[in-house]
Amino acid sequence: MQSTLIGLTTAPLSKAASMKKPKQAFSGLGVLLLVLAGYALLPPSLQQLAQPIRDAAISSQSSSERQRLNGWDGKPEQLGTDSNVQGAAQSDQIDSTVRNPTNVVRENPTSSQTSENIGQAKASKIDESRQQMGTSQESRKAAAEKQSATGQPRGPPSVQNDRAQKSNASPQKHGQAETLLHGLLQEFSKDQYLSPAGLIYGPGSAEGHRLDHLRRHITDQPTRPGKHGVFDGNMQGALQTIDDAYKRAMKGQRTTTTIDRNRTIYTVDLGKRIGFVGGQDGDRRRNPMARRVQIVLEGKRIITAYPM
Amino acid sequence: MSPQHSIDFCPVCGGGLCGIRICGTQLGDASKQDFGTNSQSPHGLVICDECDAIWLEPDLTTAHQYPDVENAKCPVCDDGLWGPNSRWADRNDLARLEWELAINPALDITEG
Repeated sequence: MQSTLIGLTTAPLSKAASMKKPKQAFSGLGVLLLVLAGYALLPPSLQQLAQPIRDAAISSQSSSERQRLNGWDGKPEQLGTDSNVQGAAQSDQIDSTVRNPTNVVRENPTSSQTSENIGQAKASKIDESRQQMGTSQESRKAAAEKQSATGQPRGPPSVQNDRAQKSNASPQKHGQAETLLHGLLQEFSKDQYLSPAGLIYGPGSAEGHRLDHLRRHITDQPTRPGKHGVFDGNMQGALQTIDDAYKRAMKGQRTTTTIDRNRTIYTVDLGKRIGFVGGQDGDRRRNPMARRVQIVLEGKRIITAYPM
Repeated sequence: MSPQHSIDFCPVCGGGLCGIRICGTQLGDASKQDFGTNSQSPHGLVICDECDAIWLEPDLTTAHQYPDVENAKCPVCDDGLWGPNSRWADRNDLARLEWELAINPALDITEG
């Protein structure tokens, strides 16, 4: 009897309580949504200040609410990270990717992620967005590979060579600038320079030094009778080509050798463009490309070298 | 530095011009010298401007020689081949050397 009385008195109370619960949950959710909507409208700097509060609010949500919020709530998180790491300038870029439905947090909605996990996910997300925009390291690398795969970069030979020379010259400045002439030659004695392949450039010729003589072959002389071979790549390019040709000559690859007393003349086909034919003849023929090099040596001492 | 007047392209290296050079000009005004009488008087050489091969006559079928790589000297007077007493011959020098008929005018270079 007593138990039935208790049952009668408690039953309406529990029903009433169960009726109130959904109402409270809905009103609480509404307030929370309002707060979050207001938060989303805040500028990134203020959002950053409010981050701990928001994190606490999120942690107090039920798993279903968290799922919903996480799907929506990536934007402020991303913006906060963005302002920390990348600066405000890139916030718009990140923002555009956060609107993407493939949100990292949404991918694992039920897991209770740590801040490190979220951070990693953000980093991958940022990288993903950069890939889309072609600014990630991988995309840059891929672009570089694509350029090298297509062969030579576009533009006139002189521009290409200048580019190559500039890119080669920069480490030389910081590293061995004091010791290497034209980025390749080592001075082993006064006015005597040794190339990586072992060729020696020393005093001599009408110009006073073999390097000054070689310099004649890095620019065209359109009024010179006959042919005048001109190397691509200025002095550094010329020296590198001569070294390459000499190495080939030593291996006997595509080389014609003529020996006249103490002189050796190598004519080496390098199988690719290494310069062009200038002079009056070259000019008449619209400066055809040169792929052979003639090297005149006495021992390992360069007398002259030029494209042909 | 290219020769003003040349005989032909170099038969040795193929790329150079065999130009006429006058040497021994240290003895004063070359025009007043008795050309060819002794080795000290101004004298002519044919030199390839690429490989430095030297001919003593304006005839490339004759024997050629090579100077020292670093210390090139005139095979006639032993003076510096590229020194101040030697130069690429001009028209007047050719006349004085009596080599003007040996040159190929098509190979002339008029610089400046």
